[in-house]
Amino acid sequence: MIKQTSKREVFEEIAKQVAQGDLMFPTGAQVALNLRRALDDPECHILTAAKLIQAEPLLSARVIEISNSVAFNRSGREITDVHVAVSLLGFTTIRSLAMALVTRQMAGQSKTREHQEVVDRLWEHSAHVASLARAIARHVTHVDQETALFAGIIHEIGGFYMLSRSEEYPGLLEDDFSEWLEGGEVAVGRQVLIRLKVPQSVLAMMESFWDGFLAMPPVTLADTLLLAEELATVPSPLHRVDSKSPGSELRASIEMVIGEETLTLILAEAAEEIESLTRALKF
Amino acid sequence: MNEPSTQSGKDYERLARNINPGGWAIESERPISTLLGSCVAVCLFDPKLQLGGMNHFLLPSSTRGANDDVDVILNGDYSMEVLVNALLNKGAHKSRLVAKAFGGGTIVSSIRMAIGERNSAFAHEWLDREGIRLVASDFNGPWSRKVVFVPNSGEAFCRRIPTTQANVADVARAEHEYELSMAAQKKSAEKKIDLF
Repeated sequence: MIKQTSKREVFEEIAKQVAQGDLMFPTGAQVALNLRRALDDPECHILTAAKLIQAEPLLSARVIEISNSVAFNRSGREITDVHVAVSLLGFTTIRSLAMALVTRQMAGQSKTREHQEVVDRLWEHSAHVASLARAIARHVTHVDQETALFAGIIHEIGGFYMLSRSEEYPGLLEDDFSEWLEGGEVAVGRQVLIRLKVPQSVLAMMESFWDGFLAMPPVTLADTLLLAEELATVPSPLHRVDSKSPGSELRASIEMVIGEETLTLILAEAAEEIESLTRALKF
Repeated sequence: MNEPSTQSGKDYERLARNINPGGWAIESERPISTLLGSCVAVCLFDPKLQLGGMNHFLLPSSTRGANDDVDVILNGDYSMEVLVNALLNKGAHKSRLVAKAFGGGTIVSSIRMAIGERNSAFAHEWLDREGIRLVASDFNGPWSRKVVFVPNSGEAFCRRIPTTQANVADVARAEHEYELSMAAQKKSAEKKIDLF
C-alpha cells in the first residue's frame, strides 16, 4: 500500500516520465490515436474518413449514435450510414469523437474490478461534462460548441492515463484522491496533453480550468467547462475525498442571470439535448 | 454588470486586497478577495458609478439567550448595512445596486451544515427585503471558496476548494476565531449594561 505522502511522488514521477517522452499507451488508445492523426490531415477526404471510421467498430457505433442524437439531428430522420453521419457531423466533431476513443482507451485493459469501476465512472463523468459543456456553450456562453465538447472529452485525460499506470503502483487507487486533486491532476494532465499535441489554445484553456476560477456569469471556454464540471450530476471518481470530511451528498446551489433568463431555466430547456448526447458518448 | 475584461480570476487574485471574516471593503479599482467556509460574502456593485464593495459575515451559531435570534439578525443586518451605507456615502444609489453572493459551505462537519445554509438564506432574504437584485450566487455544498471581485466592472470569480486541502484548516480556524470574537463582544456589551 502506498502511503498518502508518497502518492504525490508517484504522480510527479508519472508526469516526469510523460514529459520525457515516455508515454506508454495501451494498444487500443494507440490505434485510436493513429485514426485521429489521419483525420487531422487537412487533405483527408470524407470518403477516406468514413472508411477509417468504419474500420473501428467502437467509433463507428458512436458516430452513428451521435448523428441520431437530439443535439445534432433535429429533423429526427434516422441515420444508419457512417458516410452520411460524417457529412452531418463534420470533421471537427468526428475528430472530437476520435479523441473520445483515445481518452476512453487510454486507461487500458482492466486489471481488477476496482480499476474497471473507476475507469467506467470516469468516462461516464467525462461524457456528462462534455455534453453539458456543449449545451452551455450553445445556450449560455456562446463560445464554440464543438471546442466545448472536445474540452469536456479531454478534461480528465490525465486521470485516464494515471489509471493505465496504476497497476505499477499498488494501492494507488485506495483511500482518497486528495493528492491527485492537489497537484497530480494538473501535473500529469498537462504533460499528457502536450505529448498529444493538442492545440495551444486548448492547453491555455485547460490551464485556466485547472486554476478553477469561474466567472459569474460565465464568459470563456474555461468558464464553460468549469460550469459544466460544477453542474455535473455524475461526479468524477477521482474527486473522492477523505471519508471523514463532509460528504459529497451535500449539494450546492449555483445560479445566475444570463440575459433575462436564469441558468436553471436555460439548462432545463437543454436537458433533452444533454441527455441524448451523454447517452451517445457511452463507449 | 459591465463588459468583462480579458484578465482571468487568477490574474485578479494576484492583485487583490484580501478581507477576513467580519471585514468589508470598498474599492474603485483594486480587486477584493476573500476565503470563505461557512461564511457568506456579498459583493455589491453600482454599474453607473463603476464602484463596488464586498463584505464577509457569519451569523452567530449559538442560541442560548432569550434575545439571541434578534442578535443573529442584527449581526447580519449590521454587516450588510455597513457595506450599503459606505457605498451610498461614495455616491452610489441603492436602486442601482446589484449583488453577487457566495459561501455558506460545510467544511468541518455535516453537523455544521445548518450554519452555512442559514448564512446563505440570510443573504437571500436580506437582499430580497431591500430590493437589491441577486444576479449570481454559488452557495452551500462541501467546499470552501475563494472569491475575487473586481469593483470597477462588477465581475466576480469563484473557485471551489475541496475540503481536503491544507488551507481548509486555516479557513475553519479563522471563522471559529471570528465567532469567538463576536461572542466576546456580546458578553462585554452585556457587562456594560449590567453596570447601569
